[in-house]
Amino acid sequence: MSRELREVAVPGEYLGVAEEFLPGPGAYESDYRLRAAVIGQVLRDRINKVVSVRPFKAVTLPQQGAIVIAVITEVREDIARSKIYIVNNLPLKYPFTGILHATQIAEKTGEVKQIYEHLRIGDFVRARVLNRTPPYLLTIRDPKLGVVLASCSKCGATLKPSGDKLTCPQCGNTEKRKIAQGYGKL
Amino acid sequence: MSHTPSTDMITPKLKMLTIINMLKKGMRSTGRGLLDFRPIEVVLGYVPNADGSALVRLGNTVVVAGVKLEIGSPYPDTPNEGALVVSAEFMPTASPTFEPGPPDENAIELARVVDRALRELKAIDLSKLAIIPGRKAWVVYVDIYVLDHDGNLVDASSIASLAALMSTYLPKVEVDEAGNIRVDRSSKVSPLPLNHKVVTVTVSKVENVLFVDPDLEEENMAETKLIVAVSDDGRIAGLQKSGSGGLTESEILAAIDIAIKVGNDLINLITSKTLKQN
Amino acid sequence: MEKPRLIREDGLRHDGRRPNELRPIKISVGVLNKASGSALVEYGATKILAAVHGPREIPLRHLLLPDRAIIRCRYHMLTFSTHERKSPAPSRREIELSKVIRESLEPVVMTEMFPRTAIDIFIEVINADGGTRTASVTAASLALADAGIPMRDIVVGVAVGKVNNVLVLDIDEVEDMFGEADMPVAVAPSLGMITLLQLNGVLTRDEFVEALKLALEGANQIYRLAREALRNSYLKVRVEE
Repeated sequence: MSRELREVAVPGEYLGVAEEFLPGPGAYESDYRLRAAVIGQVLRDRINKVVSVRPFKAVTLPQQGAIVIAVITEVREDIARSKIYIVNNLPLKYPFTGILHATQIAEKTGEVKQIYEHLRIGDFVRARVLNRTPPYLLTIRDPKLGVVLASCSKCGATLKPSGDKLTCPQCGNTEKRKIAQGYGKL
Repeated sequence: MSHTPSTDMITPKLKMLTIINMLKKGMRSTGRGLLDFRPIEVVLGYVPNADGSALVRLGNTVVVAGVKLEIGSPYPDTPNEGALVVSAEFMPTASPTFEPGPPDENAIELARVVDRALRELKAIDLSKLAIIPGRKAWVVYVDIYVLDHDGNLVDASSIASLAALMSTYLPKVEVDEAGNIRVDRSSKVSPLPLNHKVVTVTVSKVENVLFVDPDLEEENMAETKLIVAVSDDGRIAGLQKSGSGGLTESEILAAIDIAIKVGNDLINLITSKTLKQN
Repeated sequence: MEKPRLIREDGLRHDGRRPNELRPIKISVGVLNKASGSALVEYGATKILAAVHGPREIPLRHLLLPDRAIIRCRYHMLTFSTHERKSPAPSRREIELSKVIRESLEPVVMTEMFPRTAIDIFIEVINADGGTRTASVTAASLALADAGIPMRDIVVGVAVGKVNNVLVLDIDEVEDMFGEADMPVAVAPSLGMITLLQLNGVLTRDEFVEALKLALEGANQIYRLAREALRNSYLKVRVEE
């Protein structure tokens, strides 16, 4: 679509009467009128009768089902806390807390006795979001999910995978983690 | 920083719906109409040590306002006038949600709204409060304490402030040739000079219903309110939209007409109550 | 400051404006790097910077609401923004204005889309020459829109004053100081909703009706400028891309 034909709306902009269209994302209805809620490009789906506004600048938050990258900040007996920094490969403007319950760590239930054996502070994990609103509950119960980057708790060097464990290339220390497939790639 | 308050969910949802449905039919739980205030009790001189005071009960809301007169220096831009200072505090006695400490934004807003109404209307004749022109004048401190909170604190406070000011007397003052000031608080010479009387009438809005003097439950479900200061000559002596909502132009005009009418009745009521006691 | 003649013999105001004329208004959107959204708004010599952070998590979790975002708002004057240095401690006036400005924006922000988060609005009065709260509302609502936060409308503010018995639009500091009344108003024009209304002064009912009409007309002009500025800031970015 050429620039001349692009229809741009700002919040409050009138988009049509409610009988013609239904409000899609970025649009809303008030007093039988459809209006824009965000600044963006107006998209009119004449087949499904939906008008929406694709925002030029959208608010990014963790979504239910999204794959996130988080850093573990606290490990307790029953839960681990983390800060989520990346959602579906997009960096978050503001980090959000993600909580990993002991039951959401190992692929088989009942396997986790000590979270410490699977996650440690400072670990980068790839996880999936289970709920809609903060505080976000996360799971790593999937072969693709788990620790993607960890540091040696003795010397701080980046650990390398070796079998189902991680070893330190600098001091030779071996540590246990719930390792994700594709460890080492963020 | 001002933040969205959490409305305490003390009122269960079902009860809220009942109250809203009743309001829409023009009815309220206690049987009063949309434009009726709760019973008002005014006790003048409730605090003997104050230069003027009033305890006001508005239904179950209780507010005490006291006036203290102190000798101070006039403001440089009004060297021959006295000064007015209004403050308000929401006491922990009034509600489990009120904490001790400096006034929060609601108390500050209340005090400033009452202050502006008195000040802009020149309700107190400050020009008669100079003691030594250019150097010394009376400072009128109006302090408002909310003791029990069952809604509509602004109107209760404005009523209490007005009643307290109407019961305030200036003490005897002597200035000797050296400019020393002697105050004899035991002899009250003349009433505090007032030009006007003013009260606020807060008009609350739920959906498209406008009503006055909400109790706490009604107040918690009001979307927004318009505080209208009404003078004894029927003018608007201040406005403040308060609360997280909006009003249409016609709602505002309707609210103002309500306030002017109700405010006039309130001023007459307070005047007759004070006359009886003074 | 000396009291100037507020309404001249030719019926114009002390700065040469007609009674219903706004000061020159300048609006820039997206002026900051790190904030989610920002705007710089000038009404004559009044200059306001607004920045929005969030929706985000905050340490004070007990403030958060289960069904929507909270809005936090701070109206703050720089110490040198006024003729006499303003003390850096928050004044009662700043506390009150933070509240009424927040309450002027709450009705349009779709906070229900972001439960358990906070949207923070920081308003800095860089230079104060009257109408700072109303210019702040305009700046803050543009900063929210610039942050991509869904809103029902843009809110714009303007003050009407009464000087020498004449109702005038968009009063400056001199008119505020020496005039008889100051009535700040904020409106969501497309929704026909007034979200801020204060009156500092005394008006008859008829004067008030006229003053509100004048404010709404002024707000419509500012609304046009605000929408234009918002649209242009994005069209420019997209052309550059």
